[in-house]
Amino acid sequence: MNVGPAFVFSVGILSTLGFTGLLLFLLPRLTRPDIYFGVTVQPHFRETPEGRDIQGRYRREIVVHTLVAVALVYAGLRLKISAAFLAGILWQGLGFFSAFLRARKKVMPHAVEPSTVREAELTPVQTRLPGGWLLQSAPFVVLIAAGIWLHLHWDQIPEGFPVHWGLNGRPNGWASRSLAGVYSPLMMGVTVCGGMLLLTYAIAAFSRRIRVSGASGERELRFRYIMLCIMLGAEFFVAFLLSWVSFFALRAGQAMPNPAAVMLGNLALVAAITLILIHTGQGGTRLERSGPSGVTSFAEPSPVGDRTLDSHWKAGMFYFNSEDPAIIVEKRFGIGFTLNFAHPLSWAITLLLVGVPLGFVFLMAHLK
Amino acid sequence: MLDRRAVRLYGVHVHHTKVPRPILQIDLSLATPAYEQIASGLRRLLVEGAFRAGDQLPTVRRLAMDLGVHHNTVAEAYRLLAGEGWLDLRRGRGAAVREKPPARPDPRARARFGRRLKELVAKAITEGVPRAALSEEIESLSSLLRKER
Repeated sequence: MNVGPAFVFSVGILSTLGFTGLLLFLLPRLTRPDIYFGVTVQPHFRETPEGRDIQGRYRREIVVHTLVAVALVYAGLRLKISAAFLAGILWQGLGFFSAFLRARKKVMPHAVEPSTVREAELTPVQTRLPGGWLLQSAPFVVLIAAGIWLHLHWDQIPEGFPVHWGLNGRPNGWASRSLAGVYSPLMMGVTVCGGMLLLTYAIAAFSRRIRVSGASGERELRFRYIMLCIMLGAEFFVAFLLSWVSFFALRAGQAMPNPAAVMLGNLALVAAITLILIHTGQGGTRLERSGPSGVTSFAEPSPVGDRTLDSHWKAGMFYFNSEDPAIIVEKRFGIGFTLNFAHPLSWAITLLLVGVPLGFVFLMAHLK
Repeated sequence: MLDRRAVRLYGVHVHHTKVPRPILQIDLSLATPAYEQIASGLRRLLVEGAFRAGDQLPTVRRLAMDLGVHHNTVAEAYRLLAGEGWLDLRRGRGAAVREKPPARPDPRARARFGRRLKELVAKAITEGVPRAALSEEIESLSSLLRKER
């Protein structure tokens, strides 16, 4: 069996499509019980024959779209048709969107009003990030250490060195021994980790809790902490990966670095995150029921939903509510958080998170 | 006070508080304006001794975000409580709980309270709350008041 770079790349991409498909397949079960395909419903609705039928159809569509995406990507890789490869990647995303919207349309007649009860904890919020600022700054320390190492070995870096390899294992992208050429992976790392740290802080400090009281409030607190740990883990992954990439400058003339390590690392990260999300569920709703609780549980009219009106959710995924001062809110479909796009600040954050890395890549490509 | 007994989860220790944390609840479907509900809820917690003098309350922005209401709604509630002498509002420093000197006994206030309590009981009976449950609630409140005396 040929275990060359092309094979490793193919396995990595196809497995990522498979994991994504698995997560999309399971997502309806991972949302809050009283939110189904982005619609507020009675918690037991998903167990009714109609609820199960809607989920069954959605899942069948996801399986078909994932198989089509895998076939297209495989054909693209095998026959070297990049259009088929890209079509495969896009197919899964667009297929999911159409399956979700179809399911949502079927759930909408069963929508109920969310609870009008709102609750808030009155102890002042202390924003604590996992590991404190010491551990949060560690990914930057890794990147800076790599930069110092390169600086100390500057003389060993040749005038030109390969930074990108084709699937045949031959270099097809080169950088020169300049500040931009040598340090761009590290600067990219600092930018990406900086953006992620900003997002971690924003989630910890500026997002609203849906449940505050009772065991469900405790589970939500634990869920938020796990989310922040995942963000930190991803930051470490980016820091180590890009530090490793930056050392290509010192490996000039040697064979292509083994891509299997990157692929395996990437797959392990995606798999671990998928499994953790499956275990926690949105808002910690799948965490064990008998968590320690020192707070009073309030009896509330059911369902609580996410305490926002369905009408504020466009396509069940994008939140627009100018009367809600919150910028970061819990996602309705999927796990984690999203932005309230009725506030200009949310657009500024989106532009920053998307535009800065893209602008950086563009700038570096021109500086080289 | 933190409970040092931690729950191990994914190699992470999450601490849970042992003492009940003061939690404010409002219902946006009620006819009572949100700012009045916030002020009433806070006043109840202040009277019950959930806070000590000098304790900081969440900032207007934070509480508005958590409750999903406009900043002005929370600011109005804080102003109301500051007017009653419960809170100390300072720009940029949020709201702090004040040492509230006991008010002078006012016979009119007591009569007003008695009337309102009877009205409230009548309303609850009209809404179907069983008399036994009402009596239980009043008795628990009464024993709480006796303990504080």
